[in-house]
Amino acid sequence: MKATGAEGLIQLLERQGVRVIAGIPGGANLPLYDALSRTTRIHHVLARHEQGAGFIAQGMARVSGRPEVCFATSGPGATNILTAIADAKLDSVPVICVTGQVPQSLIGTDAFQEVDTYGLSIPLTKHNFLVRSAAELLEVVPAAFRIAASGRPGPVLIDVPKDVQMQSAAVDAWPEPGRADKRPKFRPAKVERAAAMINAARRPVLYVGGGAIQWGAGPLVTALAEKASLPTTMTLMALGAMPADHPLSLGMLGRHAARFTNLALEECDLLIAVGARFDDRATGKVTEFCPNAGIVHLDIDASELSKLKHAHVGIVGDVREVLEALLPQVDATPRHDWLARVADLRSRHPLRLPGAADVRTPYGLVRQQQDLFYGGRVFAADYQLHPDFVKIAEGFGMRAHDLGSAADPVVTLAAALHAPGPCLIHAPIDVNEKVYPMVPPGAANKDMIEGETCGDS
Amino acid sequence: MLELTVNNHPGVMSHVCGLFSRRAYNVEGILCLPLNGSGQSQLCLLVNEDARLEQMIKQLLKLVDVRNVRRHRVGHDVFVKLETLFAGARGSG
Repeated sequence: MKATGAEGLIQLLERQGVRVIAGIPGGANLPLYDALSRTTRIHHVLARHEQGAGFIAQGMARVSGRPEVCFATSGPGATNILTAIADAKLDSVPVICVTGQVPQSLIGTDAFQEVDTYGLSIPLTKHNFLVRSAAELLEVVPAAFRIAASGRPGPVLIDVPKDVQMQSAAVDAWPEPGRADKRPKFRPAKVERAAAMINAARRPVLYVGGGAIQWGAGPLVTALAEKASLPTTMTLMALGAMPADHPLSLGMLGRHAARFTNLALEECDLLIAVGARFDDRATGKVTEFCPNAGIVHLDIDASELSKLKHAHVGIVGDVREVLEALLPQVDATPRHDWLARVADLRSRHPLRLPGAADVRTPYGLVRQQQDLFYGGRVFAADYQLHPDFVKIAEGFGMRAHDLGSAADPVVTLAAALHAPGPCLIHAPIDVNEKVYPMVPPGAANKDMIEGETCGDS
Repeated sequence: MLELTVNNHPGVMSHVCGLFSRRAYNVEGILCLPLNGSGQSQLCLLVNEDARLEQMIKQLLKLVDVRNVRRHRVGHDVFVKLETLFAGARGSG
């Protein structure tokens, strides 16, 4: 059997189970698009900008939990899509980005729409490939899917020169689709030590990150918290791991957390980190984060353990498997004193968002920082022209709602969210509103400013 | 000194050096030779030991093309011999 590189690549994507690809065609990936046009099994979503295509693939991967694919052409197509790829790297999302490249004979000659996509993408991807022959695709494509999905997931970029897309190659047999490697085995003795630390702790806090969502460990996190009476804080990436209205939920931590959350962390004697990476927006000044706590850290990425805080027990593994092993060894404890203390902190330092009763209350950022930390010298924080976003959306054939002029913004917002298809929600901002409370840059989480009292709560 | 076994292809040096350069971690010496017939190379990096070295090794192990990392204490003679060789070449040239 013979196939061109482009046909082979599309066939390999089909065999991986890919059914939707977002992208934009251009000179250097037209052979790929020609091959794509001849398959009925993959639906193509034509984006308006490559960054959008990258984020579409990212969104699909966040929902499906498996690698999803985006296409861009060489040069500007590649540079445009890299923001979405960098974001996928930081958030550990499995995305496969296939970029067209100028023909190999022109690589290195500053050809039309040539950039060093391979070089540019090295620090932004989990791994990347520059494909040098059509036959190589038979190895590269399954490898890309395996790498993207294995261990801590992440984006993989495949740069395919146009001559490789057009080159004909003999295919004796299609390779097996690339699948995630087996999860690393963890030592039972470490789980025992972690359980012992939790059982001995008097003021433990559970700190949950995106890893818990990635491995579908939300119910286990909640079960552990309930069994051992662990107040639980979640990072942005972990929201939803435990229901927001769960009595043990402390909400998010760090820069814009409720005061009681950061104060509870200040007092904790054991921090159990599950698939979280001690991000600086979460920890504040890291040397003063949970100053009196032992640390149990569960993560699939060994390089996260003790990266920023020394882990007294560090376990490398799929956090779901580790939690499954840990749960039976953890004592059921009511921890009345600690929960009462947290309840006390919660009532004395609750989350007070100014204007929380009004869904339209805006929260600005750059102006606020210039106001607070740059002597009120507000600069480049305003546009002279204020575009009519509702009209722009309508120009794109989208529904649009203006909450500023809506009689009942809650009703309007609900209607907007419930109708199928794209929709723009315009929420006008009062430039003088601020996001409080907050931890000033470089400060410890206990040193939050403002938000202690406010008029309307 | 770090001794790495890596897949031998044109992008490997970029991957390895990029890890060090973006962290402003100076690599004092580099030696790279293909391992005969294996498709792999041996890469020796002479680096100053500081508190970040543990994390660097963990990050190196995450690179797909890095198959193995061995850490040698100070005094490993590869670079000493190389220095002698260079000095000899300068002397005779």
